[in-house]
Amino acid sequence: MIEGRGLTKIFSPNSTGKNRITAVDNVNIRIEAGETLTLVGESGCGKSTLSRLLLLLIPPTRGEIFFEGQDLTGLKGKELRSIRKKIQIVPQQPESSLDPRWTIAYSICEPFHIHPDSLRGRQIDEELKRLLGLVGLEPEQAARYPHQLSGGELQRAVIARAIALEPAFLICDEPTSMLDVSTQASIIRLLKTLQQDLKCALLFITHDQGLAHAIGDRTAIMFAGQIVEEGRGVLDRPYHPFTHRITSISDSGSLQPSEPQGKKIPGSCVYYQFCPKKTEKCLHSPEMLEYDDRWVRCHNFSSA
Amino acid sequence: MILDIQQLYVHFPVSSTVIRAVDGVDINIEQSETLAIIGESGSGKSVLGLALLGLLPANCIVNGVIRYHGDNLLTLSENELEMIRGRKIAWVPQNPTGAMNPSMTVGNQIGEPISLHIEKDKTKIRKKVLELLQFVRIIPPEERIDSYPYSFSGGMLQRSLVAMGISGHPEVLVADEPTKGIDIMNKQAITYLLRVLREEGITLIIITHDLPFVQNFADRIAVMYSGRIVEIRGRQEFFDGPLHPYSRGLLRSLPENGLHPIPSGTEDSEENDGGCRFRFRCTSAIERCRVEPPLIHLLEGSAVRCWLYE
Repeated sequence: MIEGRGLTKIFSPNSTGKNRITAVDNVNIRIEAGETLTLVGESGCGKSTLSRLLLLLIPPTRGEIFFEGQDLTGLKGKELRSIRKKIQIVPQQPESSLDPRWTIAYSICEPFHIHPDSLRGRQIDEELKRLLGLVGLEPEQAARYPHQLSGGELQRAVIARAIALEPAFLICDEPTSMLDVSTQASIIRLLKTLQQDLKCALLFITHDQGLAHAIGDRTAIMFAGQIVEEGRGVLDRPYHPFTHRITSISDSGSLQPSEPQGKKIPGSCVYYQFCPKKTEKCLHSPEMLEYDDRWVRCHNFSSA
Repeated sequence: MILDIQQLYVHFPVSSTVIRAVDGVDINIEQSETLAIIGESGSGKSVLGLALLGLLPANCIVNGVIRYHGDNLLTLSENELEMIRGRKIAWVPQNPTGAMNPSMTVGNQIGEPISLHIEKDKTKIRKKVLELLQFVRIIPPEERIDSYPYSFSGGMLQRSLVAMGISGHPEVLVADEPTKGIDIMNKQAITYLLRVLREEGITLIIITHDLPFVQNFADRIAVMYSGRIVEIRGRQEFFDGPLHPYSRGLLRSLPENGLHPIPSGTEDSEENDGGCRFRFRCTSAIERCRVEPPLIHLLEGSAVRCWLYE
């Protein structure tokens, strides 16, 4: 369905020193239609940059993106626009992704103004009514402006806009991290139902492991721009030392947060400075290797 | 008992109507305990926190008593309040990006409560701020103390706010949504900091809707709904078996319990008609709920506002 091969994004590639940032580092990612992949990682590990690469909002420094068998790398203008309507995002902060001077209804219908052929003869008003029904908003609420709705209602509006063109691939970037638990539960249920109806591929970015557990078919763990582990049941049976660390947090809250040890050594494993199990081999960055149903990027795994 | 809140009301007159943000709250807070106040957005928990600090906006109507070491905070003069606010009772606000002054270095902002209340000597203040930065793991402190907030990540800003909150050695620290929107490693760091403070004997009031976070270390849980406290329990008892239907709904909406949302109200449940405010969303509602139940006190300091437990 959607696949990224060797995706790499380097910001300021021509500068040297600390301005040169490798945000996404040789990432392979593949999501099938109807499948959910959850992406878990710390702030700043490159999750959002990866999602922007897949959305074709920024070009990769290296690597290729395939969507329904078509190579998207280097597409421009009209061709790109026709692909874009099939790939949508639900961002973390709905309030900053809606124009404060537009009514909710106008924002939800904006995709139809950009892609009028997607209406296929249907009336915008009817489509709006249908979308509002799907996400559980009242027509009266859609007539309001963003500041007049709660966070959960805004997120429903953003979801309605994202599914307006019936995308084949939907990215949700921490869509519930600002919402309370009950609102979170209803938004997640909504997303899952919509995904089943649309049969779309879903990339769900989160740092909430409970959520990742509840919704993902597969989980990918990201650290410093690389996916270090990926597969089913990753959070239940972690193999990589970093996944171990984040899954053991809840019962070890009294531990001091760990700090990097020593200087960053070029070419070493990205987790080298933090890893309790590092050996000399780890001075060379490991490859992503398959074990049973799991991909792991760690030298010491085979012995574990 | 360090804080004793009796019949606290905070109402906001808005054009033709009145928003009852806090509507008759009674709760005692013991010295050195950690109390978590949980509830959904708009339940009044942040306004309750602001009331403790005397930071409510001027347009609201406040009634009731907040007793701190015998003084009613609500009747103190602004001068008397200033001796307490930041020094005895401190505040870690939510939304770290918006809470910092963008045109002032982080070090100066953390040092502000010290210079107001404790120490005027700039070298000594700087030394103290460096210690605080080290404590909240913003390292190396010497390189970070003169930075401006824009150069900090969300997690670092949140930890700076904790440093600012504790810089005046307060007795009580009120933290509003300290884990909202920050990632798991930063959440762990905040949990660790608050644990250390708790062991040092600071009274912690944590306002949050992050249930897994308070499950780790609060002593008591107070659940707020529509401006009222609907349940007060020990942490273990609460998570083992919440009593109020609203509390049960909150726990059932957690991912590990199956993500079952609380139904939304069919009628205008914000309307205050003298009945239980949760009954429009409650699956156990009975005829009797048209009359609001009082906070019913049960064994061992537990209390619940629901007729099911009379």
